[in-house]
Amino acid sequence: MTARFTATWFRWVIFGAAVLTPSLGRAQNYRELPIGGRTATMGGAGTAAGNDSAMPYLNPAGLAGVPGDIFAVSATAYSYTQRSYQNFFFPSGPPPALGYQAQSESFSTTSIGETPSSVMYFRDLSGPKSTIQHRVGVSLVIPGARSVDLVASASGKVGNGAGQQLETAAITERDTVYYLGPTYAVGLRDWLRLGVSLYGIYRRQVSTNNATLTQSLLGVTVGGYTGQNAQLNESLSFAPIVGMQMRVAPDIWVGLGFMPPSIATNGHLRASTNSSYTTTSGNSAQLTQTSTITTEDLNYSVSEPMRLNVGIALDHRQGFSLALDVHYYAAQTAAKATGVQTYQVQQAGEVTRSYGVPVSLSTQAQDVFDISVGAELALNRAISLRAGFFTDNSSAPAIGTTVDSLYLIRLDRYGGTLGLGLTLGSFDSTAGVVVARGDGRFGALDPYITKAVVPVSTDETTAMFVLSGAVTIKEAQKAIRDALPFEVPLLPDLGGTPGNQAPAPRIPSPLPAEPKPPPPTLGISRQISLPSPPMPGGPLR
Amino acid sequence: MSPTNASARLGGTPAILVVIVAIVGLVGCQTAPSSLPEAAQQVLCPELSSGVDLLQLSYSDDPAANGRIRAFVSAVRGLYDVSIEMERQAADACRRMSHDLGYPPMPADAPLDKLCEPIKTTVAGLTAAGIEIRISIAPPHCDVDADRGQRCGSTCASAAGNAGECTLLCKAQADLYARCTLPSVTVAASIGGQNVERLAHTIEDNFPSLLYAEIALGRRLVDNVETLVTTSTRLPNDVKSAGEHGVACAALAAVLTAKAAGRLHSVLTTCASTTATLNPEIHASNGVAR
Amino acid sequence: MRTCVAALALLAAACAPDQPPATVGCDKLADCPQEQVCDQSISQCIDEPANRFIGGFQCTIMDYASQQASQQLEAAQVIGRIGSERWSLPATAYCILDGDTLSLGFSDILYEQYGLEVQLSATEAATGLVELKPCFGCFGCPGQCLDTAVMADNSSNSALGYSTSGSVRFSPPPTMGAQVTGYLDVSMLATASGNALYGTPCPDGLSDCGQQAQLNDGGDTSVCETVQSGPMCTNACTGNGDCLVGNGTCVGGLCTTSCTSNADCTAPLKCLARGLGDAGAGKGCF
Repeated sequence: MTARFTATWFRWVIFGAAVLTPSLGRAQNYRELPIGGRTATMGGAGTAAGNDSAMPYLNPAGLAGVPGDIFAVSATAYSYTQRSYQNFFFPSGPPPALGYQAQSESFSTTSIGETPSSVMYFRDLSGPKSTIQHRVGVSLVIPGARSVDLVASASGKVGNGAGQQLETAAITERDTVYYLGPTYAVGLRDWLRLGVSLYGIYRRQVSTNNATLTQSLLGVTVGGYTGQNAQLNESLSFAPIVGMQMRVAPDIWVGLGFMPPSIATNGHLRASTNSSYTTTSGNSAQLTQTSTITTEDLNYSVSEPMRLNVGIALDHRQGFSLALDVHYYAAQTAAKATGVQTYQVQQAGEVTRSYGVPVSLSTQAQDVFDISVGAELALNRAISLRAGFFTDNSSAPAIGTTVDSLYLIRLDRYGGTLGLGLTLGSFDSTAGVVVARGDGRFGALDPYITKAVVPVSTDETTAMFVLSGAVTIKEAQKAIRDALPFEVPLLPDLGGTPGNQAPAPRIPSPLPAEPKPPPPTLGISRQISLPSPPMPGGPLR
Repeated sequence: MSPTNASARLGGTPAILVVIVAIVGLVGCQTAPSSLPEAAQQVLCPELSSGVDLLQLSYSDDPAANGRIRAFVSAVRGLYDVSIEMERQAADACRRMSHDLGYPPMPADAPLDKLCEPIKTTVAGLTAAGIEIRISIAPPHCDVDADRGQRCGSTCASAAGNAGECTLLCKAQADLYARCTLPSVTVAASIGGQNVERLAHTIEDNFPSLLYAEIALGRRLVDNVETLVTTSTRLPNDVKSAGEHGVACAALAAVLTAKAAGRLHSVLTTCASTTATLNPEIHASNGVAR
Repeated sequence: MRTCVAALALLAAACAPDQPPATVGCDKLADCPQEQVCDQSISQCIDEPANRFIGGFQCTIMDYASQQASQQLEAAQVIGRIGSERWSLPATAYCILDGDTLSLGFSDILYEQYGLEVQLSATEAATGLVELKPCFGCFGCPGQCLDTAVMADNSSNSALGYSTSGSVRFSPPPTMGAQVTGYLDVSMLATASGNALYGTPCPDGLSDCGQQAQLNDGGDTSVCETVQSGPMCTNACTGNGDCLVGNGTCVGGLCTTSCTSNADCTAPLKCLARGLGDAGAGKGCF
């Protein structure tokens, strides 16, 4: 009744166990996380005239456009993602020989994330009246943060009802890239801005996978598999980003941001897998269990691709603004790993095997073109409405049927943004939503029928809530002094309050306006009152 | 006309200016004598340019002198800040109106009269073409900072013998840190049209800030400016025994008084001339136009 | 029903190896992946070879009494295949030096029913290297079939294969009481189907004589010896009853196939008579 365990299946088990590690975890979509506040709610378009916390990454020249009394700007994205995979457990359907009749299947692939997408601290080195504005700052930008949480199970009858099969899978994966570094920007008069950022780029992926399969026949266990995998990839690289914003006509700005391929310096890929499978041995009807432990500690490097983004904007902050960006990411070898993968294989009755296999792996990224379009309508001096559209295409190659495509995801995303800008003081805060949809393919393993990789459909829907805000210098200084456990000596340039002495009172800002008075009396009898909002126009003549 | 009874109608502005010019002239002729130049005074009295509440500091071991100096320097600091804020509000208003009227942006260090030139030119142009354009104003209402006044009064209570001066200086502080509403403006024009409507909308949006500078921060505080200018001519001499620190702070405060009063005068001149081009009508809170 | 298992590594991104993994170098079996063994002659892992037993072992050379007393198992890393069957023999059951015979036994652990037995000339073993050959004669009979090996199913007392060639190395050369490390590489020939194929030529040794299944404990059912024309499967007998296990006939004191002419015999055997008194008469293939 129990068949002999053939070499073919044995090879597939090892194949499957081997590809539990390592995952090179390269970024496939470059614009997963909306950055900045205004930029995020305008579809990510900010290259030409943006001036929020996305600028050090998107176009450092935009930093020269941030008001000088601001100390810090930040944005945070809260996300919810729902994914689906077609035919997850049986990509080509169950094999006829298995006689599988599905009984139940459950699938949960929602992920929750909360990520500060961008935060920058900077100082104005020039006065507000200076025709040349200098800004220097430091920023942390997180343009990519992907989280996957998947829990699935399927059970069914096999052997035309004589047996039972149960499969479970659980995956947790976090993949984040951090850009940290200084930015310098200069604004010449009010029509030209230049900027440069120098970023250290830290990419980190943490993942855990658990999978089980058990088969029983007439209540007797005849086979099974369990596997657990944990992996941590870290890499460090460096890249400069340069940018320019130029006003070419009244309220018309063009901009350009450029980042060369980053220079990878070092990194590690550390992973371990513990799997075991139970089968019948070739020499008797006894169940034999084989356990495999693999570990990797590989040299690992990730290079961020060359990026060129150009944009044009109609920037009329008191009225209607429009922005269009085109982003290009160049094809490249995205990630490399070299080293030795060690195996320890234990099987009852067999000598424990412990050996190392040299590995040299790499992944390729394709060219990517993305667009961002955004619009803003100022309802009044304090409130603006924003909306936008964006694409976020995948750099992964097409999913095929070879081992190259195993567990690869290629997902092209697109989405819309909607937001509200509130101008409080000299800078605006933003609250908004981003909704993105991705459709694509996933390379699933089919050990039953094709014994190869099968592309299956996958999709995801993500909703993000974006919040951004700003802190003025005075607020920051007070907060820092209040937080310190010791007295801070009075420094001339801080102009702050020494020790615990009260600060000087400020001249109060105006209270809300008086009610509008009735119109004045004109000398001429006929009076015309004013019906409509102002229209844009040139100088009065 | 007494300075304390300045006309409510802004057509009476020239009288106010006469008073302020006289005060500034007085100060200019009788700057408090000090053996130290201004830079040295700043070194000896860094508090005046710091962010500390001057009402809490000590300037002399002599309690009486300390009380007088404290009340004086804290009031002067308030006047100085008011003059800066006044200039900022007026400059922002004129800059915005110029932008809305389509004029090219001016440099960041342009003087106030240059910034307000476009609006005056535009109105003058319409008037010359026979178009009447007027504004009615709901002036600001202000609540003095009574708490500040009381704290000031308690700190200079030690200034026995100069109670009257103390009272005036503390009243000045309460007035300087008062909270005022923003005026509002309604425009009427004898004809319509795209240009007139654009002018009218920018006036209604931005002129209130200029009026705030002129009325809430300027005209309302004329009496207090006179008080501070008068005190600045006398007090540095009176507190010669207060010690080097006290004398330096008193002298530096006197210099700042002159600067603040001069800036206030200049801003008030420009604002008044700008407002005058629009032949304003004042509406008091009871609805009666004046 | 085919038993199948699937590795479900989900969402671990695939990668393209720049080149195939290099052949794994080895010193011992544990250094090699499953389905491979370590060929120490080239220090490389190779696929488990067909009809061959290969691997290292450790043992302490004892006499029979001491081995019976200790019953200890020592480590071995012998993997072997004969035909479609495969065995893992991780235990050295014994290394017994008895006179001029050094007997090595390797067994599995779980089932203890399979074993590889190697009989060596102690004189040759003392050189540290013994060349193995087919068994012509009686395996287990004193002084016979030295430098040969047999893979046996102890539960059925049957032989599954005998050596054809190969070698055993020792380090240091085995002496009584010494702890030695050895390496075994022996090619095997599956025993012919059937049992005690009396009267059958055995040019390749005892393998040609069938599985040697015992009707009762002890003793081989046949030997491979040259009687007349060439090596043949036979055994001593006193009557036909001694030859029943192989459906043979006792002719002249030896089990064989009865015949009337040479045509009844498989070349090179000939139909001959052996008149040796009461131990059978008539003709048989010899």
